[in-house]
Amino acid sequence: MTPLVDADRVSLALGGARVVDAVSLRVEPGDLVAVVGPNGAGKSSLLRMLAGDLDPTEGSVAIGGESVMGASLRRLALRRSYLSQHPMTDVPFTVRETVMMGRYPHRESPANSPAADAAAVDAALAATDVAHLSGRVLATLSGGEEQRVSLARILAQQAPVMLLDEPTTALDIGHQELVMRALREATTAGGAVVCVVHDLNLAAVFADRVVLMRAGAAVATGSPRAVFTQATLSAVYEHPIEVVDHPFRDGPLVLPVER
Amino acid sequence: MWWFLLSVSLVVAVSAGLLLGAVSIGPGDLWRVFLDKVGISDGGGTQAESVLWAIRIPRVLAATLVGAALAVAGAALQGVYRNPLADPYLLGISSAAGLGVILGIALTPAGAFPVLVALGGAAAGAGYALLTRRISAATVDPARFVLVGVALGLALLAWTGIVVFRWDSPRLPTLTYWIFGSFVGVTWRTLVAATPFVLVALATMAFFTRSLDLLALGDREARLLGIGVDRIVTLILAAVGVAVGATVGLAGVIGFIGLLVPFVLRRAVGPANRQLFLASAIGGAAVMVGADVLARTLASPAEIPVGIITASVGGPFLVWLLMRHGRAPT
Repeated sequence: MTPLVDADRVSLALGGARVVDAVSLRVEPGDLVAVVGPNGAGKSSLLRMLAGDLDPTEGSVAIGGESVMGASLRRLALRRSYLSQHPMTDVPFTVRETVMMGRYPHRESPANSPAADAAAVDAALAATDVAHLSGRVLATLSGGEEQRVSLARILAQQAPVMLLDEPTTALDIGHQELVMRALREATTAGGAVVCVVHDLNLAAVFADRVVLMRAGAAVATGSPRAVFTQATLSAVYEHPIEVVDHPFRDGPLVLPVER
Repeated sequence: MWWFLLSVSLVVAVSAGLLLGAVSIGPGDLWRVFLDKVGISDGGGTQAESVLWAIRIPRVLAATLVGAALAVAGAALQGVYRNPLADPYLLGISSAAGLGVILGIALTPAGAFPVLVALGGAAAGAGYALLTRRISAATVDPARFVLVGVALGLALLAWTGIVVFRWDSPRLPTLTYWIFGSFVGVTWRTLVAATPFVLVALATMAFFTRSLDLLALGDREARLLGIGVDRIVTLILAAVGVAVGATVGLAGVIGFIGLLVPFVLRRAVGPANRQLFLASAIGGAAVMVGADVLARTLASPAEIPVGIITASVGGPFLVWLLMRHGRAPT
């Protein structure tokens, strides 16, 4: 079966530095993959290359069997959505209008209709708990609310591959859980999610697989239980870290400890 | 409600534009000219009717066209640059078009159809409008971007002044025309020469309204949603330049319509560019026709250049805008 995302030894050199170094990643339908690692490890650059937002210096990326390099922007937007780290600034549109913009790639699809657009937007607003903000102008929202609106726009886009750079950073603990469950839900319909997350415990609970990066390289890939070991994490983050069994959930619980 | 008010204001302005002026004209004259021109009667020939047909109607149509073009061009620039201060006059597009218009006048034989005048303005306007993207990228800060535009506009105006004084030709309008504009010289021929450029440019801008909405998210986000940002922005800027350039060929440099009208109407009809463009076209036309009525009635029988009317309101408005939004335009 063709993987939804197939990155083959992608590298990125910026100003002489190897920001991403020969990372390979195959993501199948139904997968939720978390990319983790310390600051500057190359996670965001990897995600941008997967999205076709940045051309790799070496290697190749295909989404749904088609190379992202040279693909038309519209075809790409139908196959993958991408949440960037940059917050939107001073957007004068309402929350609903902004989320509706996620439907733009579908505007010429014969199968699409205004009813389908409205249904997708309604579902996305509900899944991210921003339906009650529908009529508010985006520029008046808090950072966390704005991030949930951005996520709603990504969900409304209904692309089979969702690439998300720190989707939970500005969110409170309840909304972090809500958003991760919404992403998990999206994968059950045959889609796939690749997200950069800093909260290792969220990754441990929700991800099928994690890619642990350091200095541009993927140092470990596998299930959270396999990758999140005390020795590996302490070495990669250069900080003592304990890993125990989560007392209430299936998976490891990562705890930083004093040096 | 807003649409009703806009439509009424345009009807009132156009009616005033047709009926008010040095020669007294009544609605009956308007009706008689109409019947005459559609061939139902041939009773034309009174002074009022000839003033109406030869002067007032082309003048009001020109003001309608110029007002609509400048206001929509302003709305489009503000959308492209996400900057409420982006205006064809402040960014120097009008002044650049002025130089193109002079070239067009120089290349057009006396008495020939003035299409080269409109073309000169359109080409220079489009060329400069495309250049503003580089200026925007180089300046980054929205207020600095506009400041560079103002400085370039002043330099271009100075060069226009040099040409006007050096050439000293009776075919060249006086310097006032390049600073404050005027509808005095509008004829059916100049109107017909400019109209296709403006209409094609407006249609081009209108075609991209939805894409322009998405640019509010940022160029990068718009690209990720499947929009060919570079191509669309290039086409919109070229269309802005063509529209503004053709209006400069028709009525000279008129400021602030592109700044004031979209800003006010965005608060009325919302930020969606489809509605904003339509409202700006109607509102810009109404304001321009109204300003022209004031220009020729305030000091009658003398005429005040119409740009003096728009600048007398637009200048203080810009000050207010800068005081309120100067640090972080929204």
